Amino acid sequence: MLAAQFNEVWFQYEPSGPWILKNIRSSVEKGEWITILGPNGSGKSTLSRLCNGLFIPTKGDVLIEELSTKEQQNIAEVRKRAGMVFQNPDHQFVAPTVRDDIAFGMENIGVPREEMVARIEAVARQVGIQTLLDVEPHRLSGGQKQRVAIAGILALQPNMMILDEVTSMLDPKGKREVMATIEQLHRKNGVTVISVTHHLQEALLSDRIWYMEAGEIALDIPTSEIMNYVDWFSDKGIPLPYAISLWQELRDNDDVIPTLNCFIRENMTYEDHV
Amino acid sequence: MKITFDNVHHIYMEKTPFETTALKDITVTLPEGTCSAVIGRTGSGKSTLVQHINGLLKPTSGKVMVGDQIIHAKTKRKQLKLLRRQVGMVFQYPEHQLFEDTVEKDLLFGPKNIGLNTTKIKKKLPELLELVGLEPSLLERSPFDLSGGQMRRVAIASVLAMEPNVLILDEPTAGLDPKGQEDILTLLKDWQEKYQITMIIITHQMEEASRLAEKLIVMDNGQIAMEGRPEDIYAQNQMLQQLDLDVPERVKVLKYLEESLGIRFSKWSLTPKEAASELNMWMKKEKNHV
Amino acid sequence: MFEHVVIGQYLPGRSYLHKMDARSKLASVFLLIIIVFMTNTWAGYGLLWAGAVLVYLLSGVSFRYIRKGMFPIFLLIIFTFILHALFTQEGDVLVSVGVFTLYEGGVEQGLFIAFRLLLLVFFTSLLTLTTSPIDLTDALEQIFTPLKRFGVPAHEIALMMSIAIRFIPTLLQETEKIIKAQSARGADFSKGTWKERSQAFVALLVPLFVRAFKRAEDLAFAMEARGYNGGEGRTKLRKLTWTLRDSAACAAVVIFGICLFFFRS
Repeated sequence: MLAAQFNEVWFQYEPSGPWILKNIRSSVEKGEWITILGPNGSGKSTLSRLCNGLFIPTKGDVLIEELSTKEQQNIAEVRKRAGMVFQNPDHQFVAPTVRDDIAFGMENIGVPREEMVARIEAVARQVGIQTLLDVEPHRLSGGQKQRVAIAGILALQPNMMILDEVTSMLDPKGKREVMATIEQLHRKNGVTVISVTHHLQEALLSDRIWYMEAGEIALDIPTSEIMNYVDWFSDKGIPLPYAISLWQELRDNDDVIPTLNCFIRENMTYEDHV
Repeated sequence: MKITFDNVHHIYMEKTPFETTALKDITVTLPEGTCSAVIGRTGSGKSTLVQHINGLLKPTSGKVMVGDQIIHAKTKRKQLKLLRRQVGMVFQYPEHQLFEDTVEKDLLFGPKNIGLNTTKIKKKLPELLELVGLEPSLLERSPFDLSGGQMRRVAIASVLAMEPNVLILDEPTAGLDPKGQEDILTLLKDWQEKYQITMIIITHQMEEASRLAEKLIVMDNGQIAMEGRPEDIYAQNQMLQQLDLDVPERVKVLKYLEESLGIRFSKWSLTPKEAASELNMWMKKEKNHV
Repeated sequence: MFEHVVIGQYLPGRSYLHKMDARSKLASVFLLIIIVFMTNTWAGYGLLWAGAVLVYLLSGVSFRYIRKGMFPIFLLIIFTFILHALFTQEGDVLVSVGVFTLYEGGVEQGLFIAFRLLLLVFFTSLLTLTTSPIDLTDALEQIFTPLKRFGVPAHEIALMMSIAIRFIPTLLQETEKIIKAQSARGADFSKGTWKERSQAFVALLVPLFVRAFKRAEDLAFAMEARGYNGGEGRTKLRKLTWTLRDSAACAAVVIFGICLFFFRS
């Protein structure tokens, strides 16, 4: 079973408006991590919101584990299986304390109270916020708030997480905390991840990269092949990580490239920051 | 304008149970006509520090000198207002402060408040918009119809329109896409070169700091932890890590290559091209040697 | 600056009153208000004040905070006392100065009214000082739930209140930030002509509202994405627990009310 399928998906906000997404045909394997890159306005955020039933395709279908988001009765189940975290840490914190915020999603789907208490403890430990459960949101850092958001999603025991530029408003420490958390969930729990970002550096962690442009997936490659597309990315004006730029300059130099490849491989993780 | 902090302390909510020392014993000079970057983890006192330069905050003790103006605990409000004419400040996410119904009105808000000749400034606005990379035709548009990157540029222009001698920016590129970030950095660099103003930026991004600033001030817990040329500061990975700051990617890469290949690079601020040519030269030499 | 904001007047603590269920506190305050209005003798008020002192001792709250809470309405109390004292013409004449004549009944009436207001504020202050706004919201939701069948949106009101409580510090932080940013652009919120000031005010309010709408939109998406779908079928993490302590307190208030009934004239 595929985690997500996009069958000739077209999307526009209003009937006479421009097409935001044009004929997206693609799929996501279970346990895969997809990074969606692309400039502002390319439709990457819109695509991520289609995965959670926040937007419904104008034409075509989005299937989440074979459930079409077009069927109203599927929506609750889709949202349970595919949790979503947003960009602004402050705009998605609903409740007055961390504990209540983690509970919010579970309350919505009617999880019994005893079960909630147990799950809150478990997910808080998983994302490393167990000491913050009674804290109010305005006393948390951005990175902590994003981890609370992730915990709130995890409590619903989803198979998939959709992350819409979740690190873009964080400081370096917050970024590392959040990326390390996601990486761990992906590796240990096998959670499928779809993450939208501007940073190629963050994409290096994932299994596959989609580059979006004007509502279409212009490039769909396994991350392991990224070195073959370095020029393609720099032509698009995407800043390359320093190591990759250097690699681009030196690619014919057999004395240095193996060492540089080693560096790139070793530095593709955030996990040691936890 | 030269800016000097002389033994500045700042205490928030003094004599209440919430009293916190935000700045301790700050003594530092920001040279005239150059760009300095202030970095440090969230809550390290960066914002508190720069808000002293335009008089939004006054030192609890010690003094700040901006050009020939002196700010200390007892400086009068009126004088602080004079200071604000000289010192422009662009806050984080400045586009959140736009409020007028046209871009032109928003650009004129600051100049009008500080009593500049608005008819003269009005004539210069098309030129200003071009300088920040926007079409002059946008003047009549509502700022709220613009894209995020455009709004950011209008907001920065609204401070530039006040023709400050000192420009402070708090994370000017935060939250923008790579192209937007690049545009803002270019615009700041051009402005600084053109008018030779004193510029101070707060940033988390080391790469950004190294592109704009000649001097780095690293804050920690209300104190200056490190101060100096970016070159010298980047080399201190361990200290940077302790302060929750990113070691710049280039330093990580170059150090890794130095250790694995037994080579020495001339400096840490090498561009990929420069680093590649140093590596190629070194390899050639090595081969000839053998 | 605003990170130390205390919402409402709530003072965290572990006293008898703090440990009580918010529902029993609400019910007790409601009953006490009725009792206060029923009382109309000196002896009755004497007993009420004794009761108030007892409740105060059970709250563990420093008197400073109660005084602070009561201060704003002090003028109102004095004003109503003077009105009643001067315009009630009952009983013996106490003093007569010029056109003003002070009657014994007037003074008594004035004092009773002042006592009522003081006691009202006193009991409600103690309620808000010892109950977190969130518990209060939960209690109100539960109390009003039976009214759902008459179309009272108990859950929605409670959710609105709790979101409001959560966002007050955010709004304050944002206001502070915008004030600073606009001051840096030369705006002056405290000086200038009426026109200048109103312009500065617009420069503050417009961005605040624009941000608030944006935030509301984002929040709505975030809530929907987490499966929010109205109050139907929801469970709750927060549980109010009614203990012996609460039954005892409510019973005490009822008995107190019955006793006071016999002191009515």
